[in-house]
Amino acid sequence: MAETAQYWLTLLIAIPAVGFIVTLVATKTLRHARAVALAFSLAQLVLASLLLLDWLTAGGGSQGALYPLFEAGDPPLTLAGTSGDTAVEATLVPRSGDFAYLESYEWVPRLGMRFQLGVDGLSLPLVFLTPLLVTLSIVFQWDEKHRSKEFYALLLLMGATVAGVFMALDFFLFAIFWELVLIPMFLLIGIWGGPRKRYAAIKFLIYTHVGFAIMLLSIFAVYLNVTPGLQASLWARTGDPTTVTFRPTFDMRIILEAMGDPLTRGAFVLSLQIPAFIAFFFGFGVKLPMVPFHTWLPDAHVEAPTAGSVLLAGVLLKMGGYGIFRVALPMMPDAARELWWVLAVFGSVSMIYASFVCLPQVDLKRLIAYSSIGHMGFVLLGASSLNRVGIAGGAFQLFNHGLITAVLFMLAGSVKHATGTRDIPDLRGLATKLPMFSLVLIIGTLASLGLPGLNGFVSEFMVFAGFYSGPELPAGAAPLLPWRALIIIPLLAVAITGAYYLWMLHRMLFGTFNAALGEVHDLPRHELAAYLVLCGLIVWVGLYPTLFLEPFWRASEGLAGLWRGP
Amino acid sequence: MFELGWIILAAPLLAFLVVGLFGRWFKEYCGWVVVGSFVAAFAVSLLLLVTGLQGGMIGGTFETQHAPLVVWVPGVDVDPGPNVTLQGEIAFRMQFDNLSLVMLTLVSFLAILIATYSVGYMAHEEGKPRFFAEIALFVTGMLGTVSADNFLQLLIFWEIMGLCSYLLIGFWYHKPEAASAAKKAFMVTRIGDLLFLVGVIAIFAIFGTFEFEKIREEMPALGLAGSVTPELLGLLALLLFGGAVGKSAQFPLHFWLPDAMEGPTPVSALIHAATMVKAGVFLVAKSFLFLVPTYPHEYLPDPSVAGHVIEYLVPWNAILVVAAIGGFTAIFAASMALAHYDIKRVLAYSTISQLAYMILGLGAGAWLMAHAGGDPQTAGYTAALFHLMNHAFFKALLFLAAGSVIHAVHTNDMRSMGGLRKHLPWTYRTMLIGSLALAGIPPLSGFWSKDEILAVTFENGASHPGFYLLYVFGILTAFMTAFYSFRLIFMTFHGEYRGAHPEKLHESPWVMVGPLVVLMGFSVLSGILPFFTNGWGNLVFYGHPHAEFPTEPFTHVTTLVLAVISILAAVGGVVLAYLVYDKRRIPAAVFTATESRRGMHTALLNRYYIDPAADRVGRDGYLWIARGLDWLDRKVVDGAVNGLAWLGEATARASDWFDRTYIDGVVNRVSLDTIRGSLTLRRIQTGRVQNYGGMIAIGMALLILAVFIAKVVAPLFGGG
Repeated sequence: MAETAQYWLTLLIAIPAVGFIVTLVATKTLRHARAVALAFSLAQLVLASLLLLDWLTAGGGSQGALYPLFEAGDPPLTLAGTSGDTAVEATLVPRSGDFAYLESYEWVPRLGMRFQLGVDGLSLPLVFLTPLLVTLSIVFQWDEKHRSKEFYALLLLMGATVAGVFMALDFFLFAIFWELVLIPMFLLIGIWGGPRKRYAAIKFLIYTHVGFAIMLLSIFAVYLNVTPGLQASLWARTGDPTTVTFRPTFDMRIILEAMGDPLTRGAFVLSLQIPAFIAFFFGFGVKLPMVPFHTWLPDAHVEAPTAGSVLLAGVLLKMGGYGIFRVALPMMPDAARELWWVLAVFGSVSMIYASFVCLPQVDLKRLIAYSSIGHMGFVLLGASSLNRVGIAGGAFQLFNHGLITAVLFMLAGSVKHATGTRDIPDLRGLATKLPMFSLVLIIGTLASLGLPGLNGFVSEFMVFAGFYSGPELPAGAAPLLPWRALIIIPLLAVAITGAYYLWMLHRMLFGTFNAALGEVHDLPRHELAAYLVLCGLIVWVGLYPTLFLEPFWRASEGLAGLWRGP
Repeated sequence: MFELGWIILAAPLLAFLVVGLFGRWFKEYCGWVVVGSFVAAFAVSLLLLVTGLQGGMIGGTFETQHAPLVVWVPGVDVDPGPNVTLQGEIAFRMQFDNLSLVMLTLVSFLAILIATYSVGYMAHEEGKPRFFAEIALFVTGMLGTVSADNFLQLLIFWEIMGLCSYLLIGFWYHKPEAASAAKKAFMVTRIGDLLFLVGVIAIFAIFGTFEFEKIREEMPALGLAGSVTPELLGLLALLLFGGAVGKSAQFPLHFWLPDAMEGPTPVSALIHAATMVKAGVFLVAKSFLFLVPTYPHEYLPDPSVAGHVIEYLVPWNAILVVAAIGGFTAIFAASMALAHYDIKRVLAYSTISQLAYMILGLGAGAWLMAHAGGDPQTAGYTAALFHLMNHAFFKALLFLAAGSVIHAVHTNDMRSMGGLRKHLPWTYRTMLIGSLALAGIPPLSGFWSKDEILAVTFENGASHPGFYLLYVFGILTAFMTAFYSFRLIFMTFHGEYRGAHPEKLHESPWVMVGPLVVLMGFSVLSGILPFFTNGWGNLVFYGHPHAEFPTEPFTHVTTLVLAVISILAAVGGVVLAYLVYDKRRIPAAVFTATESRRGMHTALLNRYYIDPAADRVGRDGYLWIARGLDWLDRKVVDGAVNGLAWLGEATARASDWFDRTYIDGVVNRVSLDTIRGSLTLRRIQTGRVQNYGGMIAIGMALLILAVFIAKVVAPLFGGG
């Protein structure tokens, strides 16, 4: 956004939000509701795709393929404070210039709140992933007869709020979207869920809410204690010798800008960074989720309807990982350098523990839920590496896992639909009766267990390679510290993952068909369409990852630079 | 010319997509589409090989060529500085050097033959499109593996092969044995792959790149700087070797391969004999970078002696491990082949044993080369890769011939065969030649390469006596090999037919016999190929070529004597098998005559009890841990959460009760008192008094607690 005002990012939220209202108010029948919902989510998807396309072609400049429709470029920061009684203002060109598209409006200036949306390499693919999965969820659950219009409307609301989380660059706005996300998911589980839906929905709500509450404390602490000092040190960069006092601000860009530069970092001292880091880590970790704060996830998944599961695992969990890369690492870099091992330990424990627990699960959905926990451990491990390759891998894992887990949860829905059960011991020899289902299941599990050539491998490999290479610290720090050999522990998780998935395939697909299941039918056409898109992306990213890796790769440069020294 | 290289990978990949997606509409022609794509890949490979030969492959003046494929991770756009891990982009390219050109040609050629054979063998099967699509994908993986330009790329194609192996072993997925075998194969090889993965990650962490050439270029500088040590290189080599042990079914990860014979026979021939299992050997050959670190060209004043070993970096122990695993597996697997009756399993154990020869050859070759120091000797390296090619031909032939037998008699059990010579004349002839080659009878191919491996091992004995032991293992293996291969021939083709329906026996159709005959030709001829290249070491070598026959410059060995010993061992094995299984001069019962012999025989049939042990440790141990953690998750972790919730709810209820009963109660009472006056008294009298009593009790308790804290607890902390 440079000279001309552009509203694309606001539109990205507004389209599904309007769609939510229209679907809720203006539609009557199932056919009507799903068509309207699909149209709105497709519109959001198209817009997000165009944005991604423009960003990729812009290559860091201001003119992408769609210029001047879209105009990239990080606008200057405005620092506003008072010197004595007079208001002073200065603009500052941000160093990183990462936020390619930015919208920023005054909101509550007295409290330092702005309505500020922006995307960079880290958020853009996730902003693309969100409407993609919403659209595919609508297509997949094309025949939801129970309270149709509310169902499809809530899916759109999910799309709006999650996109809001990924784009918000003001802490207050971020917190609002973060909480708003809970509402549609709570209702999706609570209304369209299985037999224990109440328990699951409440558990989900309480867990994420507690995590959020602690995070919120930290946001306020940073807001009140740190942001005035950070603004003052940024002011010093302008060279203006006037002494200026600043109000606290929620503007995340200002914090990111100040913390990105070792010279202006001082106002956020380490002793403050550490508690803030822990609080944020807890909030994001519960959302991710990490062991031992994970038990809400299997319950939520088992009870949630398929579309709910897809969005829960596909984009909701990604909010936790996104928060770590957007907030915890860049805003508290010194604390991250001290506490990286905490992330590594939690990540490794999640990977090992969850992978083991997968094996004895009877319910397919529960198994996939636990495997999600394990795979989110990679994100923590990648973040803990403080290394460019590792960070890019961890962030990329968010995207890849979103695709894979969507396929897997859809498959759980398909098999329930086709056979009436999700219990693995009852499903035998499906390969003979459900060939298409079996094919997709094999692709999905292989991608999930990290088979090279499919997308999961790329990010998992980068995480391991980055972690093992060690943080890119300034000279003096040995690049290959001996305890990095402990990487063998999380690597074991890869073997365990292979084992439980193979055993699952073995029990479900091979052998003779369980006649007790009666008549079964293979995937219907609308489900196939959803699988085709997702599997296509899985293979594409696996064989040619550069395109979707590029955004994360560019974002990781700024992140890894935080520790590299001046 | 070499930019055409991508066709080699694209052709089978395209066939995979076409057959996989649309194959069901032309079921009968799927096989031919796939064969066609292999022919295309072979044609291009051959073209490149010829170009390379003209460009001086023989003699070592050929410059390694590359063809770009894709960029994986973009490069660093600014100067990364010294602390940054990644130097340059991670891109995939095809590499064409002597070894990869030979391997590409070999693999695509074998793929043509075996796919052609499959057209006949699978003619009556359902699911042909699936079969041929997976075969095509597999061949893509194998061709990609041998033409990889870096370790990451190698790993990716390696895993694609593993996937296809899994799918093809489980081709008859409704058979429980096939399903289990597929799972086992994937899991066991994956254990090795995991070590391989760690190795690749460590390579990246140390060298900042995956590329073979860059690693080699950076080795001397890193060695001088001390960031690379022999221990580290040994670790890297052994991690990679872990992958090879899994893929090439070496001890202790050998036990998946015999089970993998549940797959269709062409799969066994292509994947589990001729190509995929060779990838492990190929990987060990690639890890010579670490086993025998050498100076690259520009470090030496005279380019003609390029390949000087960096002696202070040689990981001697790692080399010994490789050689020892090879030598041990050779005899270990050969012994198991002695007793089995399943024709395919005998061949499977034989494959393990022969692969072990190659590993032994590489280990011994690395030792020889490192030991020779300034005058590098690539004899072992060359011999192992020579054996790789020879074995690919004769073992593919043996498997396909066995398939032809199974096709006719519909059983794998050699006890229900016999006398098939009359009914399957061509199968008999070809299989006989294959067995002679396997047994190592000159002038057939197996002899030449096996003899060289053994000679190199013996030569090393002068510098490390352990190699003498490995040499003895090798000779004993040669004897056993000859014995079991002719036991197989005699039990299957000689004597009288012991199975059912002798009238239905028939020779296989030409599309199956044709490939057998071609392979037979190559089994005879591939052994004398070095005569055309002035020594195989002049074509495939590590470091620099040597024009003579590799065993020429040996100092401690008279090669002729060793050759005679090998031949005697082989002939002895054949003769013993002849006496026992054809002439029956010696009854087979002699092997189970005494208690100890019977015990040995049972142990062999039960594969030394390794399979059940592995099941116990791997499967049951894993299940036990998993169940335990699952219990923990349900009862403890979730239990704590639910307990906390219960506690919260209980607190809430208690406060609610307290609120209503006392606080609200008092307020109400006061108001009620004023309003209702006299009623109050009656209330107190009718039972509310104990509530007040309770309140008094709580107050008292709090008071006592306060006193307790003040008088007892506080002094403990140094207060009042």
